[in-house]
Amino acid sequence: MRLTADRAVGLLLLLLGAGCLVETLRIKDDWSGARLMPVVTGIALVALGVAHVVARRARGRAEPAEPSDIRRVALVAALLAVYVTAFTMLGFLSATLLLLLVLVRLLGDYRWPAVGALAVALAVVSHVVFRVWLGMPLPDGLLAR
Amino acid sequence: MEALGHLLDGFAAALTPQNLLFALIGSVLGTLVGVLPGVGPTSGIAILLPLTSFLPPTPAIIMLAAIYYGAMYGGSTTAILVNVPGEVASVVTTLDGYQMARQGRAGPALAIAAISSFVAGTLGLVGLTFFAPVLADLALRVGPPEYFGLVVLAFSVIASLSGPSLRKGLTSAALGVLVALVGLDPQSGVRRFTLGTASLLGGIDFIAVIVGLFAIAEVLLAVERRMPAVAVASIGRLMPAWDELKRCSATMLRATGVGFGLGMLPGCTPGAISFVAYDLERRISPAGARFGQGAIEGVAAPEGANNATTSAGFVPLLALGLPATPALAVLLSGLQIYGLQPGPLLFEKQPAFVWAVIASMYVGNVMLLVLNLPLVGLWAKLVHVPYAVMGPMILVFSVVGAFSVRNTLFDVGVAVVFGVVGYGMSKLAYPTAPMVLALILTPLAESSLRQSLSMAGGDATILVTRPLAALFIAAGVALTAWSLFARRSHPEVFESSD
Repeated sequence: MRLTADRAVGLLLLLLGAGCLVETLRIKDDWSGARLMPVVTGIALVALGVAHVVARRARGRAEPAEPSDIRRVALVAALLAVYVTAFTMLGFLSATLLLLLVLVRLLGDYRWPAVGALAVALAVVSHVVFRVWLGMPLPDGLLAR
Repeated sequence: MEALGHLLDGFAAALTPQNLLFALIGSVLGTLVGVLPGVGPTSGIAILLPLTSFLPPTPAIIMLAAIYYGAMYGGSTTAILVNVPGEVASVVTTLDGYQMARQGRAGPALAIAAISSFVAGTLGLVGLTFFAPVLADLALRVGPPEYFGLVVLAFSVIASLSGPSLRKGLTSAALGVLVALVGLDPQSGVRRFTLGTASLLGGIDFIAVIVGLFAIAEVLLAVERRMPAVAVASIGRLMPAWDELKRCSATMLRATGVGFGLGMLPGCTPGAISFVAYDLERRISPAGARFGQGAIEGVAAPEGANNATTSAGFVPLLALGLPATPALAVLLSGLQIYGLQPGPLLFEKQPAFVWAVIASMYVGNVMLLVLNLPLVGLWAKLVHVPYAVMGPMILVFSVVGAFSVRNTLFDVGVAVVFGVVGYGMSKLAYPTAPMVLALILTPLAESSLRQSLSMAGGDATILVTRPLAALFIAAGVALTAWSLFARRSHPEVFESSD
């Protein structure tokens, strides 16, 4: 049996469903109370997992491979993860500026001076709107006194 | 006629400078969300919802509602000029709209789209004005079993939002239910799925999940695709000929009927209904034979229908607290943030709020007509904003939006995780809309089900022995069957979900 996308998702669903059922046993309440929805969900996940594992591949649906670049996606996702971690330490303005510098460069065909100008402008506008004008409690980080 | 008096009071509130301003901002943002491909009404409202927290509830909801119906106006602009629908409800508009643009008649196509949107949207509001209070009044007399039946009815949306594979749609919904169950159970106070951590006690925030699934995932997809440059057709003379307007008036009325009638049912999203209206018009209109070749009626029908549908969607939302589309689910959670529980009691307890919002929608439709007729060229230019600017800004807005619901970084992390999940789901052709609906409906389903069971001492037959509850559940099953059938005959309508 080859590991198709369907089967991989199916195994994941079986795991989730099993986890859900185990958790249900741990919940201290009636079966018609707090345990009801979790047990129904667990059974549904297991059933869907089985349906995925036994599903036959749709015929004639080999999609044309689009020119795509998964590395760019992974890079942006990683950037966001770093951004979230750096958020508190660096503060909203500095972290956003760094994020924008990399993103604008990555997504557009601009030279560094243009990238810098765009990133600074967008970061400052965001800071002024969210932090100063709307007064959101975004972390100040480096700017904090 | 009581409704009319309330509506007049509502107008008095909606026409105050502050509420007018936020209706205008909402209309502009809605048009923007509609015009820009890659930002739909669901993610638009989700990103902006937390940013409205500094406002009192009335202007905030006025603005968010305007984003929703404004997006229906904006979506037609790019559909006609660039052949790229700004959101799903305008997919059908591309058929005749873009043909008209290619024949040098983009102006009349845009004008008829705006006019038809206005006429049907406003007529739909008249329906909302008179129908919602009656429905709310009826709903006051039903108990938890009937309410559970209504939630089952609302869950029937999932079949029509499932795209080509029902298995994948159900999987998406089941995952949504699981996410919704995380945290302290509000009824018994026990912990569920918290994995021993404190961060999960408060549950997984709905807004953070939506921001991830819709906004961040969409950016990730665009990053991969490398957005191509687009060519915009020139607009030319704007107004349609008098005789075209006359021909379209019947079309608009029929589209309103279809849009409003079906729009109140869960499971009927603007995208699906605009197709139904187009199809109906093609069969019965004298111009039917020219549909697909640039018939002006082919633009008026879907644009009217999707706007009547948006108006109609507010009927179950306000009267029953049930969202018919993902975007309305986000709006529902917005109301809940303000401590307003939509449903039968809303009309009784918060009449000033409800009627101000309804009245503002009449005002907003006028604003949108004005914004869209003379300024349409300006909106079209927005398509040229480079993605290297738009993508990063969507990400920054998403992060700030997710952060500001509860002011925790944890929610930002949730948004990023669901962004990646949403990207993966999209690549594997799993629709995200069922997950959103399940997320918002699960708490309603769970509480009404458990209350019903405790009423009956644990006897589940209470759900089928009470006639009204049984009727709702049967209707839910029938609607599911109908959309499964419709999915087979018109798969193209159900491809996308936002």
